[in-house]
Amino acid sequence: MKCVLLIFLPFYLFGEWHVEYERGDQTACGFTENGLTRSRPYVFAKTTSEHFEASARLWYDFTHSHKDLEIRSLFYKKSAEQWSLKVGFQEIAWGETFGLYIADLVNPRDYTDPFFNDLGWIRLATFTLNAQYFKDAFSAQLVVTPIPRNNWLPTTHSPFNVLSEEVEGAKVRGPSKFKIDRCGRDVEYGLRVGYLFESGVDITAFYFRHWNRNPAYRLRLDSHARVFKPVLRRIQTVGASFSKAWEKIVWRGDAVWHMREPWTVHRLGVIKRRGVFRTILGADYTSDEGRTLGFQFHVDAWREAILCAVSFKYVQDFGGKKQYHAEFFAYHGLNDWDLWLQPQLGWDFADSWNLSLRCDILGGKIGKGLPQDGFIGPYREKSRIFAWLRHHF
Amino acid sequence: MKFISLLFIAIGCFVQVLFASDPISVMDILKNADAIRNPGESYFLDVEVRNSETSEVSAFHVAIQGNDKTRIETLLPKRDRGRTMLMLGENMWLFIPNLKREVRVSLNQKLTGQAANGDISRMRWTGDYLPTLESQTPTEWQLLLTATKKGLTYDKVRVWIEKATFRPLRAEYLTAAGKVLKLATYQGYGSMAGAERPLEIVIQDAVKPSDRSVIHIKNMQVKTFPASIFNKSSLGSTEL
Repeated sequence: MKCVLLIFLPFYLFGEWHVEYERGDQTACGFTENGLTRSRPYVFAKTTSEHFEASARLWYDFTHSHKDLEIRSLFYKKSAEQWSLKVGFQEIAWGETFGLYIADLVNPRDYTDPFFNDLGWIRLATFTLNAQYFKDAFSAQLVVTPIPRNNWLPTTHSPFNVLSEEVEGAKVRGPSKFKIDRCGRDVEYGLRVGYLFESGVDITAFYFRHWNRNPAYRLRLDSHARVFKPVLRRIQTVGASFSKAWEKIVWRGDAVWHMREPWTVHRLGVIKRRGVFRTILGADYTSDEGRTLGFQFHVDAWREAILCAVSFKYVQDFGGKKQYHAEFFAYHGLNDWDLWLQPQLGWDFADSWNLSLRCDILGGKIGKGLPQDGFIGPYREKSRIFAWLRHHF
Repeated sequence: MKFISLLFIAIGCFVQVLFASDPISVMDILKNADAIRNPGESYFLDVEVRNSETSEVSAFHVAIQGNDKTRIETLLPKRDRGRTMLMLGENMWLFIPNLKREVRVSLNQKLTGQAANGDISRMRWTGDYLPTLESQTPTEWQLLLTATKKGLTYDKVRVWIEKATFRPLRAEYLTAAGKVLKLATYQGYGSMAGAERPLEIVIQDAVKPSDRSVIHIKNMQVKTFPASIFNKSSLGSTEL
């Protein structure tokens, strides 16, 4: 990391730079026995110039006595009439749907808190070459990540470690890091092409060869202790996204096909590789007053099972000065008992200050580890309230 | 004597007919009024919007190319910095910096306060609206503009244009049924981009006049933009 900073440092000395800051605090408290699960003050700084961007976030979590300096972006950018290029640490977003971002594959995620779904926090920046070409309604994008990163996953003492509850006393390890000296051999790469038709239908198709993004574990004996170790396999994904605006309604959809994705198919950590098809189709309506109402239908399918779910989103600004923002997100499995309700209230109480309160109400059941048991069931005791204070300066 | 009287009457009628019929077409009036507000086919705007209700100041950088390509980057308020709207014809995307992703949105997405996207992004009436002359006074034309395409912010616009200068003076923004939604006043004429232009547009709610936004044009430059600026995939990687 220091080497990368040194490479970029000379460029920092030239050009006109714009700097912005954000500071804040995130506090989360479980409804039941979990107590305080997050108490995280942070400072974020971002500086941009014509050809460079650098941003980092420094945070300290009192609940785990853990601190981190995250590089959120550090890249060189150049654009011309019909192309743009970005090289360095960056986030790349794919997909059209909300809530669960199934097509957003390029960056790994921080799943240490699996119900904190703010992409600006959970997407982990990777050192990537990102080249884009534009020609009228056509666009193409090539992404190459020579040294990938892995997801951050809950470990033994994490409040969201549910594996140790499944197998009593088992420890949970985090994923290993990709090594710099293997540069190129662990490469992730992909291509995305898109076209905006005259009818307004916008379609993109993509291919990405990457390490599995879903958390999968294998249970092993390690020095007479039972240990869950994350499983990493290189897989291929093809997918497509579409959107179409029709007056006040926007139709959108994402579909991905993960080939030979590793899955934990039993609570004792038996791994199976299977093709998994995931799709989300939905629409949202925005009224003249600015209220947005969205509905989505989710399908996850593989050879043994098809799981369906629905999700719903409502967004409204209110108050005399429109300084309050209400949001409600709900996800419910139709074949299983998965339930996730997320009411949220935001308040812009000054020009640069914002306070938001949200709840994550989780429901589901624990069965025999079958797909029909759902994914949220193990977390059903983790419902919590989440407060976030932000100041931009 | 009788002959001379008839001759004067005939000349009088001729002069009256000659000056009563306007030599300029309604479309030309609209084009001239557009030329007052738009310095060229492709240009850059530095805009500040003040809302009476929130007393909040918003600032935007705007790139406009023709009638169907606009990009609006938010500078203020600070919490919204980096939010970028891209309008390509009837299609619109919103780039949200926190998500690092462009989200397809419907055209009625509001910019800030009483100012709709269309108030900044579609400064040219010609091409979007068909004008008819409703009435006129010795100093002003009153035109009714009817939308010729779907997805415009307003279905109809009634606009008053000064005859001597082609300056738009004020306007009413109407629904298709003719109900007045908002009132606009074009004021603060000053020199910018080589001509006298309205540097302030006051937009107020027709029902609640105290609810108003003032669009202040701080800078205007004729400028050509690379095609990549107007591609939704480039919203996170290019800047104005």
